[in-house]
Amino acid sequence: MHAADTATIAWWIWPLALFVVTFLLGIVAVIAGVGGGVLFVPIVGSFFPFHLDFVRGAGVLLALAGALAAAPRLLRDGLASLRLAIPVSLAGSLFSIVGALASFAVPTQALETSLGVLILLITGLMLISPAAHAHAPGSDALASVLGLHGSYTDPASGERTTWHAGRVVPGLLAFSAIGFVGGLFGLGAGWANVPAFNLLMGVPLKLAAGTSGLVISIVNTPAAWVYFLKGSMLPVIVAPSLLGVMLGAQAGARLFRVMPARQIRLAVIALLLFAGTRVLLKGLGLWS
Amino acid sequence: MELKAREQEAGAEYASCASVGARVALAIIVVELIAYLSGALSPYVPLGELPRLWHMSMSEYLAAAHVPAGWGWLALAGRGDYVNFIGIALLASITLACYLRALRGFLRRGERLYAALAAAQLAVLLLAASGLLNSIGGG
Repeated sequence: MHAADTATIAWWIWPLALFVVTFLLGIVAVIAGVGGGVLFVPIVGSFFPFHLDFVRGAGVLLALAGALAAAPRLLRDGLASLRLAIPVSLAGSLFSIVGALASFAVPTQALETSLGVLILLITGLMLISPAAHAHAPGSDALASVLGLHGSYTDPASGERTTWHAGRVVPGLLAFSAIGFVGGLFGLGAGWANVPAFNLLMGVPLKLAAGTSGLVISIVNTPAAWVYFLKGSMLPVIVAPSLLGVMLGAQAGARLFRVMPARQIRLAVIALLLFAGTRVLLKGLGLWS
Repeated sequence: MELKAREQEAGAEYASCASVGARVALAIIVVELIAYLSGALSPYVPLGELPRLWHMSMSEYLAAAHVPAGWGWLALAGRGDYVNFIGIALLASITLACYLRALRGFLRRGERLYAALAAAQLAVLLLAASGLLNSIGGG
């Protein structure tokens, strides 16, 4: 959207629109099982007049806030493991700083192009992920030293599951790469954390999903500080978005049982496909 | 203490810290947003000026609006826009506070490896929050 097109619109329309959009994103994020940040950055980056620098700054904080709000319940229910989160978060944190710093050295159009490609890849991942299954890894000396095993009881089914994580070094490398990408684009990285825990390290899906939220809250913190201190957080964007996503997530949690999750997930995939294509074309200069 | 019991204790300590911190930070952000958008506190960058500025890149915006980077915002924390940064800084400090608590727990339970990992994470968080990295990466 051109600056000249939007400068004539009253300023208050935009934070209000942002609140409405992020409220809806908060609802669909919960129902579709995706993080708010991964929807926020491409959608707001595409359809609002804000520069991508400020959208990424808000995105990293949104992902952090959402994950922080969910982490206590997951930890108390035993569906997130602090022991599992700590080593991978340390690797992810270091590289999220590198990603956040690198993002300010990359031209905006290159960033938009690569963000578009990434969002389209995530869309593909979302389409195939229901078919994914964990493969039990072999024994791992580092996992034994770190005590990466345990058990949890699924509150929904009452079923008790024991778990042993493995392939710790490849896991650390994967979380380093995920941290870099999250820092670079201001995204939460649940879309990548869960497969890394589940498919690579052999962590059961439920524990992988719960621990992923905890990891996002840790890994996004140093990136959020970089964005914040660099100056890429505008209160008029950040505050209504935080409020919208948090209230939307609460409404989404209530609607979770009655809304058709499959259709919502398909709608999110379609939305990401559109937003990813839009950002990609914007980056390539084909749709300004 | 058994591994499972240690894990539960560490998780519960971290959870209570994150729970309180997130609620307090979000409540503060809501109050600050109301003070900002209602005009109760006058902003440093006038709200009507924002549509002319928010399409600019971060570096262009900082120069055009004469806005300080790094911890320079503290000097403007009494203004409607920059008062919001208090809640944001608080939100970004929760993980730091929870890791401090976790570190204390690991040391108390004699879990030296995890105490070292928590200390390393704290060092990374403090480095990011110090603003020392601000000159790296352009912008």
